[in-house]
Amino acid sequence: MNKKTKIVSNHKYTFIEKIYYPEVFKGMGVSWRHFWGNFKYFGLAAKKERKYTPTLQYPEEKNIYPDIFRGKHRLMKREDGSLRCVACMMCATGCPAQCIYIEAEDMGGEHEKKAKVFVIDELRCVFCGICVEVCPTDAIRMDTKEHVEPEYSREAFVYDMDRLLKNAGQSIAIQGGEKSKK
Amino acid sequence: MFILESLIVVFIMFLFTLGFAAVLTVVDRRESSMIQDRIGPNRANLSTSTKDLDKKGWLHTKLFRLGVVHVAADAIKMMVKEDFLVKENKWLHRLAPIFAFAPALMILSIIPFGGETNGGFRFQILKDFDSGILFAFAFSGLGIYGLAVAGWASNNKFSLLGSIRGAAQMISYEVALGLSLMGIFLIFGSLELNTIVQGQQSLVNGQPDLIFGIFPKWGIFVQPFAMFLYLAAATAETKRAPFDVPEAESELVAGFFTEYGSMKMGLFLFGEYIEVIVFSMMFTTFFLGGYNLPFLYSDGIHIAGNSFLMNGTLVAILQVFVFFAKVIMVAWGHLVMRWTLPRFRYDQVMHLGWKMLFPAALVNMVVTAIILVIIG
Repeated sequence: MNKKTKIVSNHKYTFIEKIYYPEVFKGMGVSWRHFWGNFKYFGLAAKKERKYTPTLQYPEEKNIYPDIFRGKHRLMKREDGSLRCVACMMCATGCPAQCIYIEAEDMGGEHEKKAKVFVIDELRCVFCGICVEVCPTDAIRMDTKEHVEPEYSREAFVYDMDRLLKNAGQSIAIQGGEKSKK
Repeated sequence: MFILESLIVVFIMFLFTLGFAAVLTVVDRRESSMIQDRIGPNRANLSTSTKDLDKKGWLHTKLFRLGVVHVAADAIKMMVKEDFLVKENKWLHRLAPIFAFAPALMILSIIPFGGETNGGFRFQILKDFDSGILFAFAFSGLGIYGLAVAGWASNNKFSLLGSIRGAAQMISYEVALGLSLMGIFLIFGSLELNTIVQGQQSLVNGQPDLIFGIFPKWGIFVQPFAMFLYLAAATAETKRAPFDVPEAESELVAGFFTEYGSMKMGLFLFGEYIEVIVFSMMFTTFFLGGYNLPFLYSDGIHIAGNSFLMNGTLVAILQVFVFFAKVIMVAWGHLVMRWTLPRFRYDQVMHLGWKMLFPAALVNMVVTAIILVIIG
């Protein structure tokens, strides 16, 4: 059998390396280079300004997430400021974790229904994004790029409509119904 | 009058040493973080809110971010923490930090840190102390007792191993340390430190005493080989990297102070920084001309045949600042060296001490003696 072996030649120290001191000062030069490279930006310099240190100083600096990141939920509003959700129950039905609870309310006008109660239990949520996929009216989104904040009690993780609407935006997507067919 | 003079000198020396040691504790942490490309300790802050720090001005964005407040935070933490006591050898366990801390401070008493004023006032605590450097060797040798007693009284195998390593390392380095300075004594003909410092830059018949007309007679120029030997031996004396085998974290937890907590551990750590400062002072005294500034002599500036006379008192006070500036630079280099070099293995330390530094120091002494005899 023909074994493949690689013969490694051990590095023989030269005289300069054996007396140790030149190498010590060379190493101190490397240390000094790194020290000075970091010292110039010792304050609250942004990550891209710093030459060597890749660390993010978290509360001041935050990582940039990609657009497809599924973060905390938010509800969207129409151009007139009303809630886009029509309480069709698609998201609550599709949710594999059963974390969405909706109570509908009769509107009697142009839009027949709207959600009276819209609650998401963020502790049960698995952040799969199915509710966003199935929503026919673009009423719920997960594009906040934020994590769910820590709380002191389980109840505080159950987000009601006010909290979901906290960073609500306007959606101009065309909604279903007779009017949109024109 | 004698008491007042002594008090002034002791006050200046201790203010600098203890203050600089406190600064070194945080400089060491912050500097190491910058060398190792970390952010390091920068969170301790005097303001209660951490929001909008960048709008609070340079004090918050620059000075506090340097970790300045961590000095106070560390001190408070050390004092408030539980004072852990072992049951066996209770008194030895209590005394060991003092044994380790006090001898390093004793050495400060013989170091001259400024010249003589017109009134005969000299910046040195023990003046004309003839045994001089022997006193320093004796007390730096005593430092091992604190280490050994701490390891023994802790009733812990890691501690005992650490203290045994420390003792063995100390023995192998004391010899080379003493011998490496023999050349200096031969050249300047005295053990008293102020005589050595004055000899390094003196006036002969009103003219500067220079080598080849350029260099002052500083230790670094008259004994360059001994300087490297002393650097290695004295670094081992401070028990810091690359010679930190007594407290090797990866092998012995924390070595001889594993069983210590609160301010007792703080004293060991603080004592280490005091030792660094003492090392820097001794190195400055022997090899960097002590309190001497190039071209500045006791009666003014002498440069290339021209002389500008100055008041002797002014020169003496200027020399105090020169000495402390040199000490700060040497201590800084020592810290950079600590964070650069890996730890020697235990047997490598022995090998270096007995087989390399000791013969080299002997050769240096003999060669210096022969040259001195030839020159006359």
